[in-house]
Amino acid sequence: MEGYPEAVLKFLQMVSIEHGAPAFIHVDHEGIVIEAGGQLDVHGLADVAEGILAEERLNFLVGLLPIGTVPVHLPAVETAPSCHADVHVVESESGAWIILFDRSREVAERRVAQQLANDMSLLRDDLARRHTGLPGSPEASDAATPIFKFSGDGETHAASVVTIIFHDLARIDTDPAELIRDLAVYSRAATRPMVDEAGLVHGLLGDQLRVTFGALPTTVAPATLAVTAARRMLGAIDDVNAARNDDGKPSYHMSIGIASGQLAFGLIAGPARRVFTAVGDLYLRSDRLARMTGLGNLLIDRATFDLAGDDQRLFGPAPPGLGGADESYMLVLQ
Amino acid sequence: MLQKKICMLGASAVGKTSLVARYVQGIFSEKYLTTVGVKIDKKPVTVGGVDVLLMLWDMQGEDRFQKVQMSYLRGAAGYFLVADGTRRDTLDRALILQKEAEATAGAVPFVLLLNKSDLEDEWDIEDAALAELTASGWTVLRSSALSGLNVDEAFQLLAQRTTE
Repeated sequence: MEGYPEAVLKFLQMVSIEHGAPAFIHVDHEGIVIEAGGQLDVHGLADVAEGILAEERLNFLVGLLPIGTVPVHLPAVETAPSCHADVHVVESESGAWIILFDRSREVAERRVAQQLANDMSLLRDDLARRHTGLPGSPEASDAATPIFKFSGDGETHAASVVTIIFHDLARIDTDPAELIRDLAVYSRAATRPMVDEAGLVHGLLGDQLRVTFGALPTTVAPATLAVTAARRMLGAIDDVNAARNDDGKPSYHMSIGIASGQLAFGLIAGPARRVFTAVGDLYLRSDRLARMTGLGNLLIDRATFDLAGDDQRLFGPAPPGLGGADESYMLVLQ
Repeated sequence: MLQKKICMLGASAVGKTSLVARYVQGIFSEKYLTTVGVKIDKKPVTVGGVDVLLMLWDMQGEDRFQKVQMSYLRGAAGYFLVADGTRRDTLDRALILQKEAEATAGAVPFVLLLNKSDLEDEWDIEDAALAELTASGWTVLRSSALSGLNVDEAFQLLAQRTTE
């Protein structure tokens, strides 16, 4: 530790213990735990005690011991559900020290970024494939051309798709010229989350937006992406409104409906100009949900709720006037 | 019980986690959750009458944003190289990873899995490339975590090789 003043070293030690929740396990040459301490509970290892065979409790040690003179660093090892630790294994006179630093938060953050990166990679692969004439490419000039590899065959593709329609931007007391100016800002704020979450925006009419999730290849369930995008849209419109309110102007409100189910989609028109189209009653259903929910909220149908996975916790049964618990769910947390 | 460490190596989104989930839990989920770091699962098997506990290291995939940590392979008895049969570049990545793995873990047994064989219409790997690998002594299997094709067989095969 040469070159570091004692005060700095003490501070580093404090930061390391506060933020890294370090824990240690000392094993002998036979791999038996002879000492354990630190914040083992943070790593889901509170039950590690003296006398047990370390390998039987700490899976990551299998094959590692005896450690030899070169320390081993195993980054981001899952030690318990939702617990990740950087694991260092270092030789000692009696056997080896196993030292853990909590990395759960960093792993959770990295996972989000990596998931997006993977989605982008898959999308790029798909686009590249379409340009190289490999199987699945849509270079044919048929009137109806499938654009994305998906379930189904022939010229129509059926898929589990989620759609979103929002509306009710306009306020009748808004000056028309101002409304059109605001629409530009509003549209950007609303469409960006959709594109980010792999939604296919294919219907922007006035203040209404139609988006299909599940047509573009993604690694995440379409319903989850749609709910995430919708929540981000609500957040984005809050930002737009904050700026308007600062200028003494009233808020705009957004209503969102999400429906999930089967939809037929594909490209129509000729090779020079292809237009994505989709047919199914999902659009009507999501539109109806958006209109039912009133201003400034999100309403999803039962099918979307069933597919929403962990996001189900964000929703509660809609009031009876909004379809009842069996039909629709209202966003209750943002 | 005899314990053997088996690592899953490959590019991102080739199906390593799905293969482990199919083998250990017998399930397949369309929901994809990127692996960051490493997750270890256990599966008891019987090889030649001997009970063996496989410790399956499901490692994060490698791509331009993240490198696989070769320290994870320390003490591995064998490994799978997993490629996505619908993405040719993931096979190239597997070939590079094999060299790096051998440098760390030594000449331990490995099996190359060409996953997502259920997506036959999108298959992107020529048979000639595979024939070349097979001729050079590699074990190559087509697999599908979705249908379960060759999943149990591949793990059983590698388990057997690690005990020979």
